[in-house]
Amino acid sequence: MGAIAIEQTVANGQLSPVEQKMRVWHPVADIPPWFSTIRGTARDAYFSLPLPDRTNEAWHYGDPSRYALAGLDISNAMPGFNGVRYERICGLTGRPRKVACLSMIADNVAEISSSEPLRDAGVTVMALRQALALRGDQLQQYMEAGLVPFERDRLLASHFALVDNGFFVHIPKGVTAPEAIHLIMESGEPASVVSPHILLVAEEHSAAQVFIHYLGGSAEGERNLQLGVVQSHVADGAKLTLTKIQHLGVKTDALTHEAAAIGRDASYTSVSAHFGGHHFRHEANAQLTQPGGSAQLYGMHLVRGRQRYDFYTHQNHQAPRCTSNLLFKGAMLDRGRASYQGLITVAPGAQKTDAYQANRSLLLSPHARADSSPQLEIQADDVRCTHGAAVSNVGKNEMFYLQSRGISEEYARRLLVSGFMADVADRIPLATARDYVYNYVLQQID
Amino acid sequence: MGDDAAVELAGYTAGWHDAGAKYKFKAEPGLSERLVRQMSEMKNEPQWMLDFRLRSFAHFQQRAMPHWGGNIALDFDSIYYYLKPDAGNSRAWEDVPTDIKNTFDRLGIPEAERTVLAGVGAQYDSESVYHNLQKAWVDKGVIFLDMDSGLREHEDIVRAHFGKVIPPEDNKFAALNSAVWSGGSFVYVPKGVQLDIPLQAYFRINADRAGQFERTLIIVEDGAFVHYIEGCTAPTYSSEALHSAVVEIIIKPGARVRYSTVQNWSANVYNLVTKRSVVMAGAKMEWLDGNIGSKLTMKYPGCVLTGEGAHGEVLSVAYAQTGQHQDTGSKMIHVAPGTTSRIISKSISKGEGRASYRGLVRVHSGARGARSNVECDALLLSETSRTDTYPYIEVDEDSAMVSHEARVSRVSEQQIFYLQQRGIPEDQAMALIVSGFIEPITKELPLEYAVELNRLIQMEMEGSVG
Repeated sequence: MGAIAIEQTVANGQLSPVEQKMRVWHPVADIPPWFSTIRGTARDAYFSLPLPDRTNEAWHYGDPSRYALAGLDISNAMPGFNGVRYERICGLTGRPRKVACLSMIADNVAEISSSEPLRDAGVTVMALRQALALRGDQLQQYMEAGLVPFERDRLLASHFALVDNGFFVHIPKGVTAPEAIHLIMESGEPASVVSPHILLVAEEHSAAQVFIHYLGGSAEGERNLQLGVVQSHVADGAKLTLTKIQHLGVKTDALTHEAAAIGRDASYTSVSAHFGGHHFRHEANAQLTQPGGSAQLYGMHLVRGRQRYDFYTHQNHQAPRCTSNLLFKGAMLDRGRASYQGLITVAPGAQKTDAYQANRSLLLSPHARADSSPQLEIQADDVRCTHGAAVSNVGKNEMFYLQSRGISEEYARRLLVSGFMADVADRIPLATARDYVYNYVLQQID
Repeated sequence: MGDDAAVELAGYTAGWHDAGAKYKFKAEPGLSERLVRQMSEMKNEPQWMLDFRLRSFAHFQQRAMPHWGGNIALDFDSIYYYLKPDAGNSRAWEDVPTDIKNTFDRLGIPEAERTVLAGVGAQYDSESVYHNLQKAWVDKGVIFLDMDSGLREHEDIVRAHFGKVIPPEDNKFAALNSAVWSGGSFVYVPKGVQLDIPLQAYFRINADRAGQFERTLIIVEDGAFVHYIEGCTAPTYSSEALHSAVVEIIIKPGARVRYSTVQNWSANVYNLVTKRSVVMAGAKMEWLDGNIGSKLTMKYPGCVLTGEGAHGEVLSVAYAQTGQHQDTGSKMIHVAPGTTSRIISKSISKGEGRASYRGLVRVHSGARGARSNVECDALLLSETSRTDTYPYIEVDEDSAMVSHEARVSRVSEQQIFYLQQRGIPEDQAMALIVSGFIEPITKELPLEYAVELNRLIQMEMEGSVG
């Protein structure tokens, strides 16, 4: 069926350069056969599946065509470290480079700095391509675990069909990573697509802090596209904290998918700040399949100009005694729009579930728009599930209170907006990154 | 009791049917353009209504089934779309044929009229068999008729408003109703008239595999008030029945309408209903919605708040037990400045029952200072029951304030223990807690209905413990 679909599209002369390359793609020598199989399956799925439409509940507010491959080619850019943004976020400016930091665009990797303490503790941080060649057997079980269901989703299929590199991070059993790990995903040149894949493995009772920075991409001219997947396997009793800062170019469209398989009594925390890109969709999927697991998902975003953001989250409770907590906060300026859609599912038998989900939006312009749809599907009775959503401007009373104390209107608004963001921003576990986030938000409020 | 009652629910007391019912006309099962034309001709309708029906039928045929909501496993071809009982539309209870009268007597309808109501309507399958309004209200210019009579006697008013709040293209089932509607109520309340006692309509499905498609249009002029109550029951058959109503309400400036429904359809009925009101400046709409019966209910009473300061409110209770899916909620559309809305939804799921809240709050650009608040509470009574919440919030106005909250819980052991300690048996304790849970809604109903709703729920609750 896949082959027929390809032929039809070819006949119509509609294949983009990247799709043409996908079609004639051949296994590469240093990639293990099982990985070639994944890419082949994904390619077939890509050519046989339709783009999701509005009947797909997960795309109620999003526009899937924004993440399609039309008109794009594979990126050939080299990591450019354009600007000093990542250095500011990581706190590298003017200091000895102590953190482990890897950067890449497409298949081109640049190592910025490496950390001896991490290496000594047995922590692995390497490019995915290198890990596939050197430690293929170890990667196989995770990549084949089906955590990211690309066979049923055309956009995820396009990621897996195109993935040629990314990062592999491995924390051995019982090890606490002595330093934070920084991964920098740079986006490509105009009219290109990059599809980086990050695989994080925290073995039993290990602990680690990982930062992912999505930077670069088109700032003018033609759009480029980034299709990023981060999958985390958090084994029993392990603790993984992930912080993501997305500040892509204004002409970059991006879809990021974050999935975590959370083991018994394990903990997964993800804090995200999203500022860049034009059309941007973020999907988060926390799979609580073992008793006692916990997931914390925090997100903040600020849209301005004509930015369109779309969030889809799933707190999937399949085992008893798990907890999950989600808070997504967004501010909308100018003609910016953001939608949030989230689902908590509690499977039969997942008793003693404690799940929470909240989405708050601040509309700061008459032309901004916010949509919110927090959803629950509960099939066990001994649970505590609550959710909430709210949309409003900054409170008139609060503004009046501050102004009556001599604070200017402009500064009062900045205070209230940064206070609004604090619930999420204060959870970023690195002072320089926190400063970066606050500064950006404050600069936008006038 | 019907002999072929295969879906027997504990405590459903309206599940019997009148086996000797006589019909003046019983169309073949299934839907066709011929049937639509035949119905219109039998009703001697004006051409524009036939055109409206045909346009609706065409839309119904090409419109896809909704991809969301409950599972509609209904064979449209096996349903009887038009069942005209062998009775005229009477204005005196004595004139209603004995067998139909007995049916409604058993359900306590005329008794209710004598005591607390300003007017009563009763519909038996496709046609209204009785409509009466107390003389005092007739003299004030209030109109309370079945919809077919309304069309005959007040064609101008009907034509100006019919299908305007809910066009046939709104959804597949609104299209179906618009094609084959029959019966329902037509209510007109003149300027400033306050009906301080309610009007009631009672809807009864009697035949097996029946479809009931009543159409109600309520127009309330400036500063007027009406409380309209509807009740619904059906016999319990093993095959499915379909109830697909359309209710349109137009509330002029400063007026107020309260619409109360206690729906107790038997568990073989698909209840797929569209209800919406247009609320003008300073006017108020209050929907009180109790969903106890049916196999599947999909019902989202809505308010389009078109005038400055208009207010919309939905208070709803849903009870789902094994074999039932209550997919209910509300739609609040804020178009004008200063509009406010409130939705309070309570649901109880028991056994393998499933209760879903599905709602939309949309604030259009320009609805300065609009406010909306939604609260959903779900109670789960067993580990196999299910509850869902699907709210959609769409805000295009920066000065609006919209909030939504939902909670899911079960009856705690502590609550039960506390009551048991005071000598209340466990099953009664459970019923008490459930009554308390829905109290914010029952307290808004007229006493008789509050008592009835509580009684129905307590009956359904039998055997919930252990």
